[in-house]
Amino acid sequence: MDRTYLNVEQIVAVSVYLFYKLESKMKETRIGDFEEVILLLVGILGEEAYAYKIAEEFKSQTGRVASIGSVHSTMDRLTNKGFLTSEMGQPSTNRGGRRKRIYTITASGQLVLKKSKEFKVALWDQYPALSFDSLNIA
Amino acid sequence: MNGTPPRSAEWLLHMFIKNDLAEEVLGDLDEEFYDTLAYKTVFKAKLTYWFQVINYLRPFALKNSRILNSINNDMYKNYFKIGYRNLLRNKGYSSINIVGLAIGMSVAMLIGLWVQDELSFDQYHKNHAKIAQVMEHQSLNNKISTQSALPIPLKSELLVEYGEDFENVILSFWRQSLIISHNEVKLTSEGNFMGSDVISMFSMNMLKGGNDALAEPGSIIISESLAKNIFKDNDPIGELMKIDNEMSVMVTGVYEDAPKNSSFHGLSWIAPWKLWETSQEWIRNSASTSDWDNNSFQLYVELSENANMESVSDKIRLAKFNNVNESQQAQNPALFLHAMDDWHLRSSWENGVQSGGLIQFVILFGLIGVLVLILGCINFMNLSTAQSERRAKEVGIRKSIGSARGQLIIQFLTQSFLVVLIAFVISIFIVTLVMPSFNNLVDKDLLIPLGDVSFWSISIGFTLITALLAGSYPALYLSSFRPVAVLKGTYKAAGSALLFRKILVVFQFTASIALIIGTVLVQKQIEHTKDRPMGYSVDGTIMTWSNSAGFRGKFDILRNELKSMDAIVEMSESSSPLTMVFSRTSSLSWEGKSPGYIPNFGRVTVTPEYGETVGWQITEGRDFSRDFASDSAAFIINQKAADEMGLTDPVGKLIKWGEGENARHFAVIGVINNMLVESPFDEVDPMIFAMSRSDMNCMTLKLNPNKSASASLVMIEDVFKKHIPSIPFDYRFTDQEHGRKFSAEEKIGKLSGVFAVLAIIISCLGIFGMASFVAEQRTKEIGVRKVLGASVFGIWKMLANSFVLLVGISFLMAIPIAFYTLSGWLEGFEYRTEIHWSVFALAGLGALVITMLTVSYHAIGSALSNPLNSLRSE
Repeated sequence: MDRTYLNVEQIVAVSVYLFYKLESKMKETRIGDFEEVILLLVGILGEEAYAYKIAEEFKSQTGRVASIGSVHSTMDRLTNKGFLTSEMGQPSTNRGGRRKRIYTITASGQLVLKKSKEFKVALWDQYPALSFDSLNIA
Repeated sequence: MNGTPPRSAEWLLHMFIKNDLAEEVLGDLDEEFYDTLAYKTVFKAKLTYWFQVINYLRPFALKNSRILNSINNDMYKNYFKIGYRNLLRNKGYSSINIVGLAIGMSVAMLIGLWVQDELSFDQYHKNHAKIAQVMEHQSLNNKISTQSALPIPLKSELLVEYGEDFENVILSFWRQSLIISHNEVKLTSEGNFMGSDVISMFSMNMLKGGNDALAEPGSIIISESLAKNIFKDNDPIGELMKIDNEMSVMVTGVYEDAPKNSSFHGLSWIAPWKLWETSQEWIRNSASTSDWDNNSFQLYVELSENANMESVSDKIRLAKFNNVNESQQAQNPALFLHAMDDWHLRSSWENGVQSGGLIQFVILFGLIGVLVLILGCINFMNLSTAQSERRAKEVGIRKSIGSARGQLIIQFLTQSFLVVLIAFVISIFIVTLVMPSFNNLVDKDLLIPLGDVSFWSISIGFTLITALLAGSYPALYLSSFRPVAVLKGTYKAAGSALLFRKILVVFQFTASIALIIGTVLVQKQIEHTKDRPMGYSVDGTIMTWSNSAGFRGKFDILRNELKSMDAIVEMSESSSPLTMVFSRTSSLSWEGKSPGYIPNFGRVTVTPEYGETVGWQITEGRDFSRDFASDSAAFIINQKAADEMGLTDPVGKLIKWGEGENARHFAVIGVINNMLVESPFDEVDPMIFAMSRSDMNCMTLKLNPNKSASASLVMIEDVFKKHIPSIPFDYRFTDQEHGRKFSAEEKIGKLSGVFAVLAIIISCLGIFGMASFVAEQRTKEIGVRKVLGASVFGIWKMLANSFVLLVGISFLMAIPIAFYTLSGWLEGFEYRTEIHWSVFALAGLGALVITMLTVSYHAIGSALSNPLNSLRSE
């Protein structure tokens, strides 16, 4: 029985593909679903946009639990991508006199949100029946 | 409802979180904690706090993450890259480093495997820790000798009096080669008669048959290889065989051949002790009369579960003493247990005290292995520090752009790790390559355990330690440079570093020269002993075993026929072969014997032609003769015996042999020279020879020197086959048998020779590198000197001088070390060569010549070079 092995060219091709995949991942400018929600919540909360509050807001808005750490890590990633900036706010007593880091959306953050929304609206526009009834969500 | 956030969780968070995140995160968590307290219990709030802390274990938040810190990663990559480039740039030095280290590591690996194999001896047997042989110390003439031959009734004595300490006690005879036959197939093979519990006691791996296979007296178990030889692929179980053409037995079991590192290796068959006891009259008598005087048997014991080897050994001390008669009690027999774990490695006693054995070689070679490895490491240390001036600038720049000393140390260690890793890979290849010849040399079946986890973990640990060892000095030294001094260009290698390098070279050469001296001396000792006068002639004599019953009464026919054919000059039969003494006696007395003296004489019974066959020299009296009937009650003694007995004129004196009713009187008819029949390293023992026809074990034949040996051998074989068809003709040359007594010493000689050569190669590689380095550094100086008129010889002398001095110092240091160690080694031999100054001179001269050759290559090269080339480069 013949078994097929990858030949050298195939291996090279796969490696090159994986390399580009990795390369593009590093310069990622699109955002994921969770990231998009977080970005929106930062916009909604305004002056109160710091990790704990956002995690709370996420819970009350979606009913799902997200740990402060996971929210913090996502915001750190969004900051690295340039969609958020942050600065330290005022200390308060219920934090043991510690300051909080307030996040704000940057221009490119707003742009990416806008693009995401437009992209989805464009998709909706192409949806055949143009009506929610035909979605059969019942 | 009060409560504070859990301290331990806070502490944990502090441990791992980045410092600049700590404030905001702790703040967030506090805030949540107090919010939660408002509507939940303190416990639940604390639980939530913990949950949040654990959830901060994310890459972005971790402190100093080495793995993820890309700057650190780049730094390590850079270390490896710089290290690799350095290796390539200095190809010569790098290969010297790597080859030296690889040789050192190969030696260490080979020796390690060998040591491991030696230490695991007899672990093939599951109960090895509980098994022991019963042995005895006896005092003879103020000397304590140690041996394992014991009387039969001791077995029941041990079982009755000390039963709770023993799981098993078995009697055993000695290993012997007997003819094993099945129909027409006859093979002489080695085996033993042992108690039937031997199978379970030594956990023999039975391929066929069970643990009770030896229960019947008429049974035999054979090794897998013997079964293959005799029965090919047929099932041997139930087949009938004969031992020694006499004892009929049925095969009841087949066991796996014991590996080379087992005391049972090469044992091809085991038959029940009962069979041996019933078939031999003297043993039967000894057993039925509970004879405590016949010390001819061995006893093996297995301790019971809770018994302790040492305490049982102490307990049974007097088990023999309490049962023997007065004359035996005078020898003060003290029993002890020789544990199976010690059989191989610790098997010699000096005056009743354990004095080591093979373990000494294991330790010695272990040390040599480490030493050779260190020599390899020294090359690395030397060459790296020697090159330091070249890298001084690199260190200076690294330091001035912010490298901490710790980082530099790590950098240099990384490089040494790189070198050691390459050397390790090469050494694996070397070891694989030389393994067959090494196995041949040490007579073992060693393998590189490539599939073994512990081998790899040891190797990796080994590599790391070597890297640390070899890289530590250069790392510490190079990283200590002061950047300002180096970059200004005023830096010169410190005197201390130079001194350190010299010390290392001296160490290398001391070790090498000491090893050379050792090798030369071991060789000398072997040569010296080989040249020892034997006192008789072994040339052209062969020996063949004649202990089988088929030989009885055949001697005269064989002799007459062979002599008439002119195949032989003479032949004789004796109780011991020419190269051994089987029997000793102490029950001798004579007129004028001092009362406290207990003789320990070797006793050999011979046919009258013995002297003629071996060519001994009669110094007084006459040889045995068939013409005197009275010679059946005559002794011939050797000179040593005459001396020990204190007889000035021994011929005609009467000697009483035996005690009580069995005593007989023998007249001394002749004295012979001291023949060397036993270990050539020991003094000759006193011996007595008597004429007899019984108890014969061996025939010795002196071939006709006027005929070719091969022609004679064909004739002899034909005659033997004609008269004794039931026994395969099997012979050995006596001189080869004698030569085998040197095998242990020759092995040591060869091994130490190999190690000495390797040590000197490594050391020479080292100074080769150093010399080329020095020559290179002084290129300009040499150019200037030449321009000013220096001769080639003058420059060569200038360059070689310092190395010759170092070798001279090493030589002076090696002498006392070698002298001390070797005189200890020689002390173990009664017949030994002296440590002559020429041995040292030879070794020193050899080292000097090798050094000169090594150094001269570069010295002459640079002395001959055109000064124009070296001077115009700037």
